[in-house]
Amino acid sequence: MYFSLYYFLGVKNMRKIIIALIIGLLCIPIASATSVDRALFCNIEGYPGIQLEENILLTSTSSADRIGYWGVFYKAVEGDNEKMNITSWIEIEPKDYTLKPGESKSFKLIIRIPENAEPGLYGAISEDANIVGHSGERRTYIRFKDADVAAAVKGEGSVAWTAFRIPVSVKVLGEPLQPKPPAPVIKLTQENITAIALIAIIIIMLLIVVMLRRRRRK
Amino acid sequence: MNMKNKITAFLLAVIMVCSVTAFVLPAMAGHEAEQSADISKSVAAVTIMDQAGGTDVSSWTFTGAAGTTDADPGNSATETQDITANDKPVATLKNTADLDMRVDLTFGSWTGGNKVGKEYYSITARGTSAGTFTEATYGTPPIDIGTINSNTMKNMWLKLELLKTGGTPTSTFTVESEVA
Repeated sequence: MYFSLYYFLGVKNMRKIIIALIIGLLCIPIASATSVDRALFCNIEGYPGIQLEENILLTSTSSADRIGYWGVFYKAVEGDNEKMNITSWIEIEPKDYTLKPGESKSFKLIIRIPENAEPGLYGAISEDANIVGHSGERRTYIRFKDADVAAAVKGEGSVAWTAFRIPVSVKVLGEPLQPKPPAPVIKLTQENITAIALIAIIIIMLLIVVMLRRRRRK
Repeated sequence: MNMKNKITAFLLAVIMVCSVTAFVLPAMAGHEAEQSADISKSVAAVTIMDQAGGTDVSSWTFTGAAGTTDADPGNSATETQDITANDKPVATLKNTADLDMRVDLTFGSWTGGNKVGKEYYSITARGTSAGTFTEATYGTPPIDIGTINSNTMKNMWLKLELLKTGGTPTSTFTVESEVA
């Protein structure tokens, strides 16, 4: 059928049709949503009393303006201890946003670890919470929620909002990390790498000279 | 192997050893503990779409006489729900990510609460009709509807009891997702 059309319409017309089809396909609306550049903020390490900062980027692939805001969420599960709810440690700046079609905006996740926090994992029951398939191990989240601006302002009927939650867990460390001292040989080599390289070059040159002399004598 | 080739091979070996040593030793020595976070790839939230999954649905409206249950709400994409037909829901829930998503729903209370009664929902696979409806609870906790697999959709069907006519009650509906 393709070949009969090809001969019937001619090469030029067939090309035009193919180009039009490609353009048409590109114009078909694509499933849209707000996307985030990181879906997990798990096992972030820090010491008591310090402030951690992470960047988050939201991008709208919607065909209309979106209005939304950030918040925190704690998934309460019976039997959890007080280490699981760290929503009071978390802040996101700015909190409110609007996104035009295709627009991206950057946000800052700020985590303030209390000075009296004991060492351990907070916000999740296991370090595996960052692995796909382990949603049951997550407790503390940040989440963004947005809706079509026109629908939200108009407010008729039931307005549809979409939200996405991102787990956050923090590993509070007990004592400051000391840089691991390198082995003595490695340390010596590292400190004198330039000298070692020069000596190696000199040895090579000497070897070349010796070999050339031997060759001439032969 | 003549002398020339021997010298060349020797020189190459020495240069290789020097290069590898110069590259590896500083890297080995630089293995110090540092703060790190787990980074995942970019993902999109599960979206509320029309019956074909091609256009956004931003709202839906129930209409009908007092004392009836409206089972054919219309969405913002000008489609009407038909609970007896396959794939004719008020909206679809679409996961465009390459990861499976846990999804839950939150039904906001209606303003003018004396005008509407109970709300019902049904989530079904594609290629099916409405099936059995479940009464929705308003507000928290959200209703867990399980997992929507990567790059798939589910049908979402809604019904609402209309108690009194007049007025235009409004509410919000939220679909919330996270990486499974």
